[in-house]
Amino acid sequence: MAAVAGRFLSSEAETAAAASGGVPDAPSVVVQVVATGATGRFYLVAENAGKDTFMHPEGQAVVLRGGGLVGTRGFGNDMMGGAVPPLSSILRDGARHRRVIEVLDGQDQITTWVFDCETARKGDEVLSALRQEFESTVFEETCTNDAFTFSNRYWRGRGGQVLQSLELASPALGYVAIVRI
Amino acid sequence: MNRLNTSIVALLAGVSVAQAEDWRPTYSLFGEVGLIEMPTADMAPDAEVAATIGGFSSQQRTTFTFQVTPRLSGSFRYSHIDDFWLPTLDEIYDRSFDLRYQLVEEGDVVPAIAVGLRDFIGTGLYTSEYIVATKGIGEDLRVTGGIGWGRLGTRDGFGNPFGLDVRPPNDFGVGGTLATDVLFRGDAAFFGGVEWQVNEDWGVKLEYSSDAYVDETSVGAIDQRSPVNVGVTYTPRPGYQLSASYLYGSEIAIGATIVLDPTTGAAPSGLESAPIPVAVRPGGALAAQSWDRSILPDTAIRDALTAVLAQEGVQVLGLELSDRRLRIRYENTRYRAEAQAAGRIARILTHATPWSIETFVLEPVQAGIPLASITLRRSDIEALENEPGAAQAIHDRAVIAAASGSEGLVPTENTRPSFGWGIAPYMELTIFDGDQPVRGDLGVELSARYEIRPNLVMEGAIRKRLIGNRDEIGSISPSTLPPVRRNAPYYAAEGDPGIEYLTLAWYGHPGANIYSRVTAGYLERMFGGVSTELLWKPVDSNLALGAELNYVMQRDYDMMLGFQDYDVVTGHLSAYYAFDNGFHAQVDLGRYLAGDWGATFSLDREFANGWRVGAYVTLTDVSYEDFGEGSFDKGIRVTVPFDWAFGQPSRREIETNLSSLTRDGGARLNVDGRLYDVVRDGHFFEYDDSWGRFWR
Repeated sequence: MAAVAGRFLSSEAETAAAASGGVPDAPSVVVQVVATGATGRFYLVAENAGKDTFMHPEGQAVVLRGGGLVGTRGFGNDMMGGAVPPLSSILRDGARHRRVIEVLDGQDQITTWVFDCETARKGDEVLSALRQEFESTVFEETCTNDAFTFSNRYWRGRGGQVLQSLELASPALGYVAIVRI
Repeated sequence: MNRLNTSIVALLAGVSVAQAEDWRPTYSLFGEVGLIEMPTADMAPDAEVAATIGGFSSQQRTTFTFQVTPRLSGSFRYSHIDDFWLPTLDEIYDRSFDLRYQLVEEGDVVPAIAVGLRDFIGTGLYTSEYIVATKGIGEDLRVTGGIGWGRLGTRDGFGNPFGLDVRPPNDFGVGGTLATDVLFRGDAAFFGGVEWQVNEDWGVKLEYSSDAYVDETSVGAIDQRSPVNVGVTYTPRPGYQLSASYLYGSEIAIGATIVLDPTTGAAPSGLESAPIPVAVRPGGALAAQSWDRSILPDTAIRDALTAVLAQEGVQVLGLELSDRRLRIRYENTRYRAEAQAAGRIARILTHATPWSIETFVLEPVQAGIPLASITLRRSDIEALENEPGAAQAIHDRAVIAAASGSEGLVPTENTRPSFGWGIAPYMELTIFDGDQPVRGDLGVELSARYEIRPNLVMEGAIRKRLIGNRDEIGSISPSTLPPVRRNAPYYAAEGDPGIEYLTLAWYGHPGANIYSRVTAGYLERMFGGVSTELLWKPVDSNLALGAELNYVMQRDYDMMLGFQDYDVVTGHLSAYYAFDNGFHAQVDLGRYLAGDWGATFSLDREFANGWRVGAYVTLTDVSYEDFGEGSFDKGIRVTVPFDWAFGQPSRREIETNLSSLTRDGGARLNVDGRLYDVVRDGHFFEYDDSWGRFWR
């Protein structure tokens, strides 16, 4: 069955309104569910041992650890738990690592997927946003297990910070884009 | 932002997580996995539920099929047959049951082999047996060949291969009994066919039918010019199938199937808001042994928790606070899985309790009865949040036991009486009754509920019909039994408006592992009186035992306050057993509403997400002749949880009984709130019992 993504803020205007009424000073990321196009700004609401929880005013959440996606909530086909080394250590050509994604199946049981991943440098790209241009280096992380293969992408800025990424949340939800600018 | 998105979306073209499509079985006009009219040895995916309407000019069949286990499927069918071949009848509506078992799974060389019974406890109109083999050739072609008996042995039949040449004629009688004396007897005949999956959406079927439609042909209801049927199937999405075929050189047939997969819902992890993140205590706080109650008094904690948990649909009933431990008794009104409610409560407790409290004891309550006790360490909640394996880990570390007593608990303000009411539309269907297959009403229901205490509840409902035809009373068949259910149409006709129920229910927990219920008033639409029940169910036991004793009087047809002069003492001893593989058995022994003695046997397959599909039979000392049509009470029932269908959290579910023949024998009182269903949800002892939702 198709992923049923949560409806959350769909326009920049709504995002701005939520931001002005909510927690304007908190660090935030913009998250888009690629399959549905649903987009919204998520604010940092909690930190627990290096895991940062960003929430949307309407209730969805993403959890990042070392910059990488390790959890989602409220999207219907969530990543219930995840493990990946900090992005700073995997974003180099030829880096190999292991990634774990946990999802909840229709029987309320946790399914654990373990992937072997390898990162490749894909060249440079200039991102345009907020009337600025950002130079970036693009990395592709390709992860494989018996069942399937997927590829996450990361745009790393000149200062070493990840500007945006495209990461698989779960097989049913698909990719989410996380913009950190 | 938009420009960034463009660059993101552009690169998705090369990325895919789709997996290859497996062979998807299709359903026949008999509503089972098969060719057009002939069966195959194929099985649907485990647990698949399919509802099919199919047929041609003179026969239409509505079939419900359930893949009971990976190798066993069962079907229940309701057919309309025109130009019926008995001179006294123009048409009939007929029920039938099928079973199919796959003896051999398909291998590289070996075909799948299955044995099946069609209409083995109906009136026998479709009664047939078969052994069939099916083999895939390549990925898109499947070839089937089989041998059939009964109806499936009527074309070019040959001598019985087992030497059982004599097949006794169908003994119609009142129908509904197991036809063991005809199985695999008499002439046999070959049938077969092929199914070709042309592409993802379209398929083609070709078959040779061994059903000669002997009786139908004799009265001219069908003109069979050829044994060959050909058809196409269209499956644009996994959820439904359409088919069209040309049968026997003379008939056009169409079919439509809706396929449901109970094992996975619209949004397995739910669309509800993310739970509040865990508040982690700073390192130095872990050593705290108490807190300053002059700054943070107990009442402030109690009030804050009550208010915050109300936002989660959790009603706090009582709280016990000590320096290092908090015990909370609550009723979860929102989440189907108590484990999910427990997880969300634990997260909130990390925000709303002093740092010195290290132990959380959670006591879920339903109907005012504390059902279990889950002891969690706060440091585990802090350490496991968002970690892989967190669901299993928290289950392993939690201590789950029976609820403890009320000593030390301070009740919250919420335990004062509460009143609620509502108006909602209702729809009611009477199926398989009398000479009309379906009667229906649409109307409004006014209901009210007054909670005097959490375990003492008065509630009632009145219904008013707006449109419908259930006020027409069809034929009520004669019987020697008291009309305890047969006269249901009079209630539908005269009880408008009528009091559906008006009861006072009191729940108790009189001893360890013992639960009690007393319900008095207008218990259901046809009976009022007193219903009492005791249940023994240890928190970690697969077995439960119950006893129910009721004294009831039959209500007046106008469904107001009066009674007729029929009264009866009815009750049962019940045993419930939850097998580890998800099957669930129940046996009830006792006296039924008509004063008959007997037993009900039920077997349900239950899914952790709340789906249930099951069947039951009731056998009592009423003879088949006295029982009337169907011979004894039997049926299929399906329960679908709301959150499976809509993805939003809910404790509601839809329950459907698929063969409710309203007869008097083996009829049970319909009292609401029987203990086993109330208690068992709170006994989520095993990790399988939805602990995967703890962190959701």
